[in-house]
Amino acid sequence: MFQKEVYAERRLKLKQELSKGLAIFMANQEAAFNYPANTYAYRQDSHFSYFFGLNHPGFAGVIDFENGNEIIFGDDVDIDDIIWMGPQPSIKEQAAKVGISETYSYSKLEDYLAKASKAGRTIHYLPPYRGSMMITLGQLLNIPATEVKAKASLPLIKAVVKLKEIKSDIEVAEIEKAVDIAWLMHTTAMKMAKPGMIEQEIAGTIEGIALAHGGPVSFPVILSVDGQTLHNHHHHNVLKEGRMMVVDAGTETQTLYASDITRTTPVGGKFSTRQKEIYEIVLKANLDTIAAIKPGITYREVHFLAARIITDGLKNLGLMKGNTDDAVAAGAHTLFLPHGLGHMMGMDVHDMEGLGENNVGYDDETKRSSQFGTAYLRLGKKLKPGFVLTDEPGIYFIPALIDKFRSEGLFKDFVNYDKVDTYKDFGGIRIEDDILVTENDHRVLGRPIPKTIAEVEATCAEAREWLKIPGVF
Amino acid sequence: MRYPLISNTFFKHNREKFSGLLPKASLAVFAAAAKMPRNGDQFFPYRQQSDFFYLTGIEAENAFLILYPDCPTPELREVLFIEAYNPVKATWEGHMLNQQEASNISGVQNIRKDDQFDATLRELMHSAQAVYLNQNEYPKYSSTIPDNNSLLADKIKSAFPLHSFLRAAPLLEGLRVVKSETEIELIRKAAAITGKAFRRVLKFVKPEKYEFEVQAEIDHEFTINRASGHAYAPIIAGGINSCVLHYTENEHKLEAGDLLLFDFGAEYANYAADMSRTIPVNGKFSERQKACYNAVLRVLKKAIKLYVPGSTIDQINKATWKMMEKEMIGLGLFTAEDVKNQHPESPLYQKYLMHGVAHHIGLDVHDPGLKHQPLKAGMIITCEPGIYIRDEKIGIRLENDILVTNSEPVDLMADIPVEADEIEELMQHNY
Repeated sequence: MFQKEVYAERRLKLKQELSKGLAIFMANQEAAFNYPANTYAYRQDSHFSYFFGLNHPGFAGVIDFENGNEIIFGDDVDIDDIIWMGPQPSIKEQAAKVGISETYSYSKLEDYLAKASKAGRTIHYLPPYRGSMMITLGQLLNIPATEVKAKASLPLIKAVVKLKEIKSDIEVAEIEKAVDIAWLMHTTAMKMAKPGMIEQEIAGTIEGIALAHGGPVSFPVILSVDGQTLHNHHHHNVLKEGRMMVVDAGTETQTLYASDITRTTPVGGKFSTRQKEIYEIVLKANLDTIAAIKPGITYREVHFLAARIITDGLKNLGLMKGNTDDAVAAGAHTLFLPHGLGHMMGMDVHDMEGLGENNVGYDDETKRSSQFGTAYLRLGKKLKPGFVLTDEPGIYFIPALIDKFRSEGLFKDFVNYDKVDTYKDFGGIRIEDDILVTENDHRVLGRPIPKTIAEVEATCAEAREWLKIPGVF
Repeated sequence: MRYPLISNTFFKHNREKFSGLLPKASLAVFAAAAKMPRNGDQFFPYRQQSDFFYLTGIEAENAFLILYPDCPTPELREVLFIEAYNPVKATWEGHMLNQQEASNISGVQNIRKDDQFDATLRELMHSAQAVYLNQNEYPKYSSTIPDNNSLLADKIKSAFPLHSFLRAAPLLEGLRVVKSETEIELIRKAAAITGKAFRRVLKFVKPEKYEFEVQAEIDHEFTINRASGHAYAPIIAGGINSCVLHYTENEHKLEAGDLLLFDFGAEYANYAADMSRTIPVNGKFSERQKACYNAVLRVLKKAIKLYVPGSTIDQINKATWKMMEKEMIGLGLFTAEDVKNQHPESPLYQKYLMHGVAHHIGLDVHDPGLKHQPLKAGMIITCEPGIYIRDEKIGIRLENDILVTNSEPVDLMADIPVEADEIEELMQHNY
């Protein structure tokens, strides 16, 4: 947890954004795994954590924009809890750690909200993303659970996005810790990428590294020799010479800040010529688009820069043809890059995605595209200093998509389908880093993770070592 | 047998795993080791062929195993043949394994007499297409004496030339290379006995003792702890002998000021331990000896961290040699500049460290396993950096057995003294 001043300042800033009513932030509840008492590892709600810090289930935080009051509702543990979980600090003690002195028992929350509602005051809340929370909020606010999400407060969403999209130095430092752990996860995966290994063994090991350093993974590990499947979460394939292993994985710190890194490693440690050719295109797209990141540019422009680099590269290999700008305008590149260049990152790996992607990644100036592929660009708007975002271009040969586009006669002028057909066994390549937009420029966060062909091959050639990253707790 | 009976579910499970690897209409045939002639009418103590033990637990000669997982006659899917009762042999050599005992040990239901082997095989060959034969495929194995498996292979191949014949060795290697809980416990036991013997000789060694006297202490400690003996010929090498990698004569007198290099390991229930230690004969390392000793010890500790899934033995060798190269520069054997100018084909460190530092152990002290194969949890591999400076009569090797896990490597010999101070301290209590 940060110092209590950090949370006090965040709440103060939020109060400056809104003047009417009050906002309620719900701490996440425990989530049952296979029966009520056996729960998933607890994960606090990122917004509650941002304003109220405490990593505890079942609390609620209130910020009153009219009288300035800040309250935490929650219950002290009883003797049963102490028997099972050991002594716990009281709700008063916990609230004091985040700069709040006013606390009430959780059972008072319903009355409190009912009174506010009766007085005609606006009760702002953020859209819930768990079914149980929709029910809880529905009960607290006396509205049907099915309407809870739609009635979330747009002014509060906009205010929260405005605050949270700009990362302070201490937040950036947390993200860099998470990237440093990701360095160990990814270099370990590279060293393990040998014929005969099972994906699961590597995925389990790198998830273990995340756990050994505190956080869980920031999202389920994506690790596959079928890299053309973008979010592959099953890990049963045996690694074979000639394939490449795509690993998209990151961890989160105890304050819930994430890392999200992708690397692509040749099984056995050496890229083939064909793999090198495609890898160099993706690497160029990654490096050149990172170089373009600075305040004022829209991320959509950066995304289309990646699209042009990929189109140019594939033209050089005879896989695409025609005028690059025309090909990109038509969307021909989406056959190979069917996703966006990146997304905001912070306390959620897709930062604040639960508030609505368009509220986070787009604004009045930049509206979301509906074109295939480009529609998956989660961040399109103009970049500001303090944004942390991912830069993750890729090239994939997805047999079903190739067949679909070809049979529909799409992009005949830009795609050499006969040649593309010979790449159906290729798989995919993605390279992803986490980038901070600085005052005038950008900075790649964390310990550099091997990325060039030479660096990746050298790392693969090394023996793996049992390591712990010092100073992350 | 000297060790408590191993649960036959272990052997059953091994057979199931092996059978699971066989394609349809295939059978596999295994022969027990022969008693090895020594001289005149004498034999070496009996040692079962490791694969045969792995699949049956049987420690007797003249035995065979047939595995035929999809045999049309279910009771013939596993058949173990043991030597028919021979009253003369029983009188002279003692108790002979009977069918009930063989079934208890191995978990095989169908036990037949060895004289039924030919007829049973003929019956099975009728429906089988392929036969898996088990050859000794160790890359470094060479002998003029054929073993029972190859004699059996010759016999079957000439009797049934039209069947296809396949190699059982790679399948067994794949299974044996990863140790089960049962095996890890047996190897731990072998390591513990080895450690006891080492602690004992620390109290025994002093100038003027002979290497064979030291060996006798070890022999005794092994035997009273139910080990079947040494897993390999023990190396007890004082002075310049410490620079001979596989010195096994163990016949010289120990001299004050010299080092004494040990490389020995107990064999318990046919599982090996493999340990190396180096101690000062007079109980106190010279400054130079200690500098060299601590260099090797630092590398041992660092190298153990490489024993994680994904590393290969090739990579571990390379990384460990590199660490030793750095230490050798520190010891003044050559300079960093020399290293830069060295011929890449014959690096300088090779003059002082000419061996690999890692091999699998298990039923065989050099257990099967490929050097380019990624390590997996459950493998047990030695870590044995060393340094041999002939000109200074300094030969040092330190070796522990390391269990690869999905987290931190586990040193199965972590409690066997290895710190220079501790060695010196323990040697103060000579009797």
